[in-house]
Amino acid sequence: MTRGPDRPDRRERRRVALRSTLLQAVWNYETLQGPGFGWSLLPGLARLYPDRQRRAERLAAHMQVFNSNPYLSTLGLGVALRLETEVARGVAGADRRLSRLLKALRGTLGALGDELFWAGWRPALGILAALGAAGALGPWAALAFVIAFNALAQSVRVWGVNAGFAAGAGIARVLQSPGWRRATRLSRIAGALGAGAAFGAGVAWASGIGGDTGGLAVFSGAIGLLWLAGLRVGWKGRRPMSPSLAFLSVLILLSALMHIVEGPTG
Amino acid sequence: MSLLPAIALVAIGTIAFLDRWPVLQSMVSRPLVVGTAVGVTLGDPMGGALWGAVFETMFLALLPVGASRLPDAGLAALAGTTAAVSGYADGAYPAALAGTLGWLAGHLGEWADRLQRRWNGAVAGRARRAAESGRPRGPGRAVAVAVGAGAVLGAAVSAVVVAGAVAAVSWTAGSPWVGPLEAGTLQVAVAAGLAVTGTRAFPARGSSGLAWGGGALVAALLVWGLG
Repeated sequence: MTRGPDRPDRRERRRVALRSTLLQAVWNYETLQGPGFGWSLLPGLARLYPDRQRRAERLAAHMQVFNSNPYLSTLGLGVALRLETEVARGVAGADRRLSRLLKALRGTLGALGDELFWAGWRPALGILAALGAAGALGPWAALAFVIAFNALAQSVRVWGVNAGFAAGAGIARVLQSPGWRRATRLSRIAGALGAGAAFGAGVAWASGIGGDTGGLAVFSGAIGLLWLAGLRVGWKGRRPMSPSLAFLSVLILLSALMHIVEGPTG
Repeated sequence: MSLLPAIALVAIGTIAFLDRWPVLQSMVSRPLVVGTAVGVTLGDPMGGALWGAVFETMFLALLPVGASRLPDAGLAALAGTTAAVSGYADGAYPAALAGTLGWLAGHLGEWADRLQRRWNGAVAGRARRAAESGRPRGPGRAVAVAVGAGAVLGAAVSAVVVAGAVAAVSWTAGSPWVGPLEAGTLQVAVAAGLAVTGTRAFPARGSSGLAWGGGALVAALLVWGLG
């Protein structure tokens, strides 16, 4: 794609994607990701508005409230780059249309991205990597986790600017693609695989420590406690125990149990 | 602990603090990665990875959706793994002490997050006013100032939790209250935590159920085979 007054070239799209890595740098409770969104768009605004005053006006317009999933926010940036071209040409009502579209995109991009990355791939890969780190992979598991997650997340970030610009106002077609559902479903399968593998590895590890039944008793006791903390402590209108506090309680109880069974260490 | 590893730990904490939400979000701030980096720095990569897995399990179910306030899992791993690895004695890690310090550090990180986000509000306001008065470079300066302030805040809280972890380990050395646990028991606790949290986050139904069962069988056979 060649650069012209109406079209961003590859370098400009890359710069926008690169700037989106700082989208949340000025995250605040009033305008959320707004300042980062405006700043990420600046290479495009500089091309479209050689006049400094007009450029600053459009920048201020893009620094209003914006919030979405950080990896999918580039779809919004791509759409803004495309529709900003119409605003620069002086098409009547284009700025209001762009503002309305971005407002509508906030929720959709947030929900889609949060389900895919925060509730899907990150915990799924986290389970597999944590299991690997506790097992034979050791420190290499952390490296594999970072590479695997970023291969997906940063590719989506770069793709988002191009796809958003290509789709423009027709971004709904991109968001309705069955690929999103497939990727989320795949993450759920990977997560379930990891949870099952943790159970299997736990049984095998437990049978190898503390005699024939001691390790298995520790494993089933920990499973039971965590399950109860999640399900039963929230009974009768009470909030369930936080998972971090539940796991900390298991660590402390295990330590106390080992102290009683094996006697003081050191 | 000598000065060089202490500086390296503060640097790890600062990078993790920035990566968590202000910069990139490449997941180097996850407990698994921070714990491993701490282990490598303190000369126990396997122990670091194991404790990274402990804190990953502890904070796995917390999702950073929208403007939610969550404990800083990276800072928790920095404090907890530092305490665990530097307090390792007689074949056991001070598990109760490390877990508690990690949990407290996570909440300190949450407070630091809120502080930075409130302060960012003032920075964003200045940037917006600069843009409105015809100065398009205002937001660029705001981003640089916010990242710089985040680095300073991240370094400060990291220094506090590293110093706190080292002091707590030296004060409690030899005490049964640190809750000494061997690596094998920790490994089993991690597996139990991952199995419960994972099964609740990814219910085993249909093809997920098959994946769960297959994963359990293959993992058990692999561990028994390797053992």
